[in-house]
Amino acid sequence: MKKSFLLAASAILLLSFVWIQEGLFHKPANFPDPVYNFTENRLKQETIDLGRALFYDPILSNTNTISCASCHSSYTAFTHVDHALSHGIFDSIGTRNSPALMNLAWQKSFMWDGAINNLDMQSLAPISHPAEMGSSIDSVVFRLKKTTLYPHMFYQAFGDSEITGERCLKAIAQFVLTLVSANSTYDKVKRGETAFTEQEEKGYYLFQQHCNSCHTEPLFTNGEFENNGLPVDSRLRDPGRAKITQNPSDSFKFKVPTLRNIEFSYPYMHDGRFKRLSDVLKHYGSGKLSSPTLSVHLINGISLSSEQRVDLIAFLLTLTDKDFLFETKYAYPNEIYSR
Amino acid sequence: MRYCLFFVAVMMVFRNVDAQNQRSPSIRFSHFWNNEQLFLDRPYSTGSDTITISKLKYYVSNFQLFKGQKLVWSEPNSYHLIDGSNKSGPEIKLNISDTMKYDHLVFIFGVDSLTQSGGVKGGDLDPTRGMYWSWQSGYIHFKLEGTCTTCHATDKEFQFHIGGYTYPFNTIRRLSWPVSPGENIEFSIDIEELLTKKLLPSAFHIMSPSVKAVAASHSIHFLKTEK
Repeated sequence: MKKSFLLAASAILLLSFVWIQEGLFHKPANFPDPVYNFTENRLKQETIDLGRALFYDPILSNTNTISCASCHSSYTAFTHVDHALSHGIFDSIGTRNSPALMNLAWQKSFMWDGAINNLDMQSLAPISHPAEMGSSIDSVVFRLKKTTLYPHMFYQAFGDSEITGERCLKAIAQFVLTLVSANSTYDKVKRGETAFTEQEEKGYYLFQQHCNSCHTEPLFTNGEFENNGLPVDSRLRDPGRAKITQNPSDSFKFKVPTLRNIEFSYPYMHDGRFKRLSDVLKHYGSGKLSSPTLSVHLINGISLSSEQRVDLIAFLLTLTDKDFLFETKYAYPNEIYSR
Repeated sequence: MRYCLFFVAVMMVFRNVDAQNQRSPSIRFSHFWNNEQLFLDRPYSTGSDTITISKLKYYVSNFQLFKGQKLVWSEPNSYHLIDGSNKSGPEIKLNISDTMKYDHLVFIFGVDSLTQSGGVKGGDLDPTRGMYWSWQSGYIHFKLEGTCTTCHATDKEFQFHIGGYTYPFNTIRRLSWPVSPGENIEFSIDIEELLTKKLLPSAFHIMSPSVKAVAASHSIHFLKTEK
């Protein structure tokens, strides 16, 4: 028993060494181990390239107009700046704010309500949603087979040119797994490469006092579902997590989002109702939070002076990772499409 | 001479494999309407209503043979999508040695929860098979769709998508039957009884993991017949 455990452990160590060696996925030193199971979907540069090509290609949508990147732009931490709710084909408007994509290998569940249990399966949802891409994975496979580009890319990625749903989803997962943001000022401070300003330092102290229990370092989310006391939008009437569990004790709970790159991921909240960080902090400080399922961490509200709010925002801006935002290997794959 | 012996040895191995294959017991799935084989897209009169089944698909998985409490064989990558439009149905061959002793067969109705949460899979589990929910992770274990001409469904259509793999809406069922070695097995579902007695009296649409889906999963009965 012990022997087989040791054997398995050393195999896993060896495998993780291989990925790091190939430089395709790097676990930042201050991060925990990823939860994604890489052994079932071995990273390969050709597969990542394929995933990137699919991510930016509107061929995934029914009308050939909407790609993943339409709502997840690389320059804004892979979300849709200025749009409270997601957009889709025929100018449809969805019911939730598109989440920023980063550090997905550490995420246990996906979507604001945790409807999706594995990163591989995530892209099925926007592909099929009538107000997003309005397509289906089988019609995506059908369309890809007719192109000149993709059979060759599948050949390079998987060893033969067969296009399947499994392969499409694995490739997209591989690309988004590479979206690791861990080079913000905060990270550099943690690594001892730089120091916070006095104001950022004060803000960090406030953050640790008031925010860290849900937006837990270093991922700045605990991956759990919480009701943060937002008044229910009478038009959307979104039950949040309870839609999935059908358990009333989950009513109006939504996934705690990461705060990394929050400077660029506005508007905020599951329905994008707040445009500015100061609006968010005012909400938490208003003392008007009341709901039977309200997060225990918010029962007393977060009351901050206006000066403290400014300090806290100064800290939140240290979570911006410019290297991540402007990384060319995440951007529109012109070089792939023009091959 | 040496080569000759080698040749004979090889031939014997091949013959042996061949013999084994011939003796591999098989499992079939079939579907009935009023004691006769069910055909899709054929109108069936139930007296007060005319029912046409347009789609019947479901997963059976994790086939295992036991001798008493002891597991003696499990099929590798054992996931099978049974399609009612395929008249003979896929035949599941048990690739076992003819000397193997076993006394019961176990399989799962649906797809096990470990596989459900383990990321995307290919073959019969590929999401292009139309048996995976896109808005919420999970396989549709059983899909039965069709029309009823005089029923109260507003669109005269019924759709039963039975799935769910976590408590309290777990629709996975582990099924066990006594079998004897070498026996060819046929499982059948009486679709008429299922639809007219169990499903339609309570709903026209079940589309998500729910209390109704769990109840429906318990009303799907496999009858075992020896061929």
